[in-house]
Amino acid sequence: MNAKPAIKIQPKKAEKAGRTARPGRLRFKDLTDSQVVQQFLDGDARAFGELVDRYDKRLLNFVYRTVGDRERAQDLIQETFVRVYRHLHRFDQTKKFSTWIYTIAGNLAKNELRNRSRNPLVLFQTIKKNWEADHRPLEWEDPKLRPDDLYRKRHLKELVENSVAQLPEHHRIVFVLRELQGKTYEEIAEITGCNLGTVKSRLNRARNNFARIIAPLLD
Amino acid sequence: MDCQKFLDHYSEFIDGRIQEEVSREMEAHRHGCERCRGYSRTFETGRELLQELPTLDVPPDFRPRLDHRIFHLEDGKSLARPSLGSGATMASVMAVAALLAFSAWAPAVGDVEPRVELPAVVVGAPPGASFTPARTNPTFPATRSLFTTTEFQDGIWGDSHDLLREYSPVLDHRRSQPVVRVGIE
Ligand SMILES: [Zn+2]
Repeated sequence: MNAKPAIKIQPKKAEKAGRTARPGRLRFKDLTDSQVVQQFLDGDARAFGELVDRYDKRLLNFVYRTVGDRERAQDLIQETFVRVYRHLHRFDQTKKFSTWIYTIAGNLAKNELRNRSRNPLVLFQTIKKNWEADHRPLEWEDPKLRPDDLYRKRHLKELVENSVAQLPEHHRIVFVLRELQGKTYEEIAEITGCNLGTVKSRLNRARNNFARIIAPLLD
Repeated sequence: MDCQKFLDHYSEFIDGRIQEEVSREMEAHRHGCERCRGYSRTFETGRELLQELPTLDVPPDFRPRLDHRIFHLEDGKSLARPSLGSGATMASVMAVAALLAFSAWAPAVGDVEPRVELPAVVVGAPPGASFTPARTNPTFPATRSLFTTTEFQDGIWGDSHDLLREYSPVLDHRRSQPVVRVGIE
């Protein structure tokens, strides 16, 4: 298994070259993640391309919403796939592959945020933001929603986007995983390395904060 | 159920993760409380907008870049696994490296650094008869140094000197001074 073939991760190109096309071979699209993983471990390099196909966009959007930097998110996803390629043989196949790959990407994102917070100014702002988010009293005003036109809606989306970026980091990652990636509480706990109780309270806080930030914008 | 409790359980409430009884209490509170109804409405609107946000697409150069990185990963692996390549090649590489290292260090071992006496360099003395400039060949008077007879250097340095003159402010300064021509007449 350690003698993997030199990789060409785009299956379509490989097919065109006619080298790897063979009758009756498995169609990746019909396979589950763990079956694709097994194909790769069995020496079929094209299976890795299929995994990239399945996860590149999802992970990119997850990391982008977490770190807030498009270019950096792309780099971190590249790194995620390189790590997957190098360590897939160590992946516990009784677990969910998607959780594993999200954990890798999430750790890289957290690392990125940690490195940024070593900048004293950023660190101060982060601590302040986190403290405020955790200690703000949960009061609520009725926002009195108004009907909106197309322009207003576009503007609102921008504001909503910024509202996510304003969430403190430890809330944001949980919020993004739940609201934009549709992960379950259990998956979020595994991906972030937190216990279920922490996930629940962080998600609730994040949602409260999100609503608080957008309320005046919707008003 | 009060407003604080409603907010505390809101997240699990909308995800259907609380007991049915508590869920019914939440519903009842929301129905009767203007503030919590407002909160719920705001959150739902925000969430709708959030889910309508355009998603990023993976840029076209993403795959080639990844492809390239993984290609080099494989490259690195084959170097790290000499058993898969030629063992003899790796052995000879190591042998040559050892030989080079030894030859580099050998003169230093047990030897005293050699002392070389060099004659003093005389600046300004004109070259002797054996020295012949390529173009106009004036004779250099012994009283003038090369640096005051600028134009003569053309014959010696050729085009490379033109380049030097072009970029050197020092030479620009000298060029503004009257040129002394010696030995033309
Ligand atoms: Zn209430």
